[in-house]
Amino acid sequence: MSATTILAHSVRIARTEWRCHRRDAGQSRIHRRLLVGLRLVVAAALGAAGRSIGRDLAAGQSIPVTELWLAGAVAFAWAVWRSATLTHERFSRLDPDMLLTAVPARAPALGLLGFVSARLAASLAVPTLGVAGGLALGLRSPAVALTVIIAIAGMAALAAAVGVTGRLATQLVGTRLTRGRFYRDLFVLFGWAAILSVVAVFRSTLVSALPVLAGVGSLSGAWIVDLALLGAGERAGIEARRGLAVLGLILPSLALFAGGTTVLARRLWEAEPTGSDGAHGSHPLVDGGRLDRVLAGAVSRPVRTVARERWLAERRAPRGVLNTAYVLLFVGVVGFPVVGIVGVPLLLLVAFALAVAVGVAFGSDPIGVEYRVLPMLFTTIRGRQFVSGLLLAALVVGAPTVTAVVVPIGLFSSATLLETLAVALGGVAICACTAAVGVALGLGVDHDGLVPVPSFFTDVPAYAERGWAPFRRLAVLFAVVSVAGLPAFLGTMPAVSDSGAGIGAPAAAVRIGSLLLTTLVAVAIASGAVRIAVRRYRRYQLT
Amino acid sequence: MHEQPAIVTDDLTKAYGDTTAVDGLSLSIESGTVYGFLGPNGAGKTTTIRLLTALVAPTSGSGRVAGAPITDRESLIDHIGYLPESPPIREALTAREQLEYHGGLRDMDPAELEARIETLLERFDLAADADDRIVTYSKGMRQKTGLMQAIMHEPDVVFLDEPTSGLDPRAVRTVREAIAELAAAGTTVFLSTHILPVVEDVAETVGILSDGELVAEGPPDDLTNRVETGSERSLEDVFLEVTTDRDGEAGESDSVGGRDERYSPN
Repeated sequence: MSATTILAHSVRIARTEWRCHRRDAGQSRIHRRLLVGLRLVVAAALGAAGRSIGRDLAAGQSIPVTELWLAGAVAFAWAVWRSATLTHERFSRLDPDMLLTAVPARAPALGLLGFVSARLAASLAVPTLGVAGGLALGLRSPAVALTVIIAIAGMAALAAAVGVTGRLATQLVGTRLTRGRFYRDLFVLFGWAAILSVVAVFRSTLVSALPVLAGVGSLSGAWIVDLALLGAGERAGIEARRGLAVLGLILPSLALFAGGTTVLARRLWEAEPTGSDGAHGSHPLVDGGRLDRVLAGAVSRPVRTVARERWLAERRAPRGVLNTAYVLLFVGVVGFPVVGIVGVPLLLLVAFALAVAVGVAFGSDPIGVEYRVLPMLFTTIRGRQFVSGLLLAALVVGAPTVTAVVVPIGLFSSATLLETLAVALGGVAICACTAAVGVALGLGVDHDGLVPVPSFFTDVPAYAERGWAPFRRLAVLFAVVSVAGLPAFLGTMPAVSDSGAGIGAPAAAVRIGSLLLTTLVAVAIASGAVRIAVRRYRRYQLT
Repeated sequence: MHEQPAIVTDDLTKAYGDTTAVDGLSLSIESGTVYGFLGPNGAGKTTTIRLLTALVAPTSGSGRVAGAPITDRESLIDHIGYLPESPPIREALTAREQLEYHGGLRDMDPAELEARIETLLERFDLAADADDRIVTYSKGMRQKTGLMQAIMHEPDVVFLDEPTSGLDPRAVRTVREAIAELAAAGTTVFLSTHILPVVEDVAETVGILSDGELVAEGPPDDLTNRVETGSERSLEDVFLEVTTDRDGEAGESDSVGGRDERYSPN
């Protein structure tokens, strides 16, 4: 088959994938308009910045190479990450059985690359026009608009190629090496936290970045700035030779990465998976465990079975545990600044973070987690039993974890034993509250809105919503549990607890009272959430 | 005293926007019988089963399964078993775990559950693979797991949507025998399938759905034995006739009628 024919096939495949993406996305008209509006705002801002830089250059000032290079590097890194994410989503949805028996493997591989490049181009097009237009206006040179577009298009194409090839390469490693896949997934999920921790710990000893940035102008990466401003000629004070050289580097690199994409995709399609999901052996799910001996009299078997299955599923495909990364992010962005600024005890923050994390792990996204077995669940078990089972799953893990962490820290802190126990109790209540609210919110998800997506640590696909809806739900969840935690956070602030003396209330009494109030509020919210969850379960429709 | 029907519906209708998936369906199915539910793709068979299992709410009309209203899922679940077209099983579990999971949810006694699981695994020739993860199973093995799950608690009424899909001939025979035994033990089987010989073999009554309407109903022998001419035909012939598009070739077989009137053997 000729290269032209293969190219034609790959374009057809990319267009079909694009069409499928547009139909899968299912965005409302308002959402699409908001997205276009956001891009126009970004384009206008970039255009204004470009115009300002262009004017400065026209006035004879030197090019801010470092700043432009840094902005370009950040944009490039984002584009690589975005391309890798798109590849991760789309590769698993290609149908190799159909494609490989119809066209050579190169066609779908290049089609995938074309699809990812098109998605990236769709995101970057409007902002690129903004920058190009702004610089052209500032420099009063229409030609610079063209060279800016060429430079950004070159960078985007390279980023797409690097992202696609990189993602397929890591996937191949994961397919061949089970342990490699485990560490890869671990790094992808929590690597950012490790890197931030290392940077935070060694920040004072790190070499200043300034000398590195000072040498940026001599790096070939910065030559992209020369290419972008090539159209301005001598007015911008750039070196045309370097601008053309970077173009000469990008083109063969693209060919190289395109070849790599083909090789890697073929290896993945033809490789036999060696995942751990083929493991042998069954785990008892009905009676026999310690939990059953302890809870048999108090909790019905169906409720215990829901909890036990949830733990087992989590061990094999830790989907809920992965969601705790968002809790870490939330606590890192909101919690620690609060500790630093208003003086909330670290002990309380630790208890809150742990409780929310466990609640999120076992309570969030019940429809996605149980997607495959929903027809069985709805025709087998009652709403109260299902919701209670998930609450039990969260509490059996959350209560001992919170207690085991909070009590030792409390004993070595300035908190009294009573305060420590009140924090632990509040933590357990927050855990129940998080799980209950998570289940109630999760049962509001439309069955048709979920699609299969590749999952970390397992070959078994997960079912998840597309777009921002899961994050919006998570934000609502965090807001609700923050309301539950508010009395404790306020009451344990020194400024508040010490002011209690004015009305004859000792500071310790104010702190313990606020912690107990949080416990009551959390229990009340959990109780309401359980009622909503049960009602939603009963009325859930598999449309 | 006359025993009440296991499944009864009255003018049951389900519409999605302008599309009517099930249109005025009225059924009465006796307890302990096998009801073969046939129809072309998109006729509304799966929607009907979802209505009868309370997984979707009717737009109008009513129905009862084993005496429980189909609008009250919580009272229905004690009486039914359900195998959808795509078996509702978790790929991360093994078949044994999946069956234990289902039995635990139904509060089955552990000892009784274990014995039942062993019997079913042996019967459906899955004992050797019962402790492998379902993600490694073939389509047929998944189907068997889903089927065992649907019948393991010996429900009053079991809904089977394409139970023989992906099964080899030996397994199809096992399913056929299992359905006959279920009916003999008093379970009502609502069987939706495209495999007409299976229906012909096990069903006491056959209903044919086309464009959401029940266009023919009766015992297979009566349906295939045309009163008008006395000639005997296969169930496939009847199926093709009653489901042929009204504007198409249906006019050539005027004895069967179109979708406007239900074909009845007598």
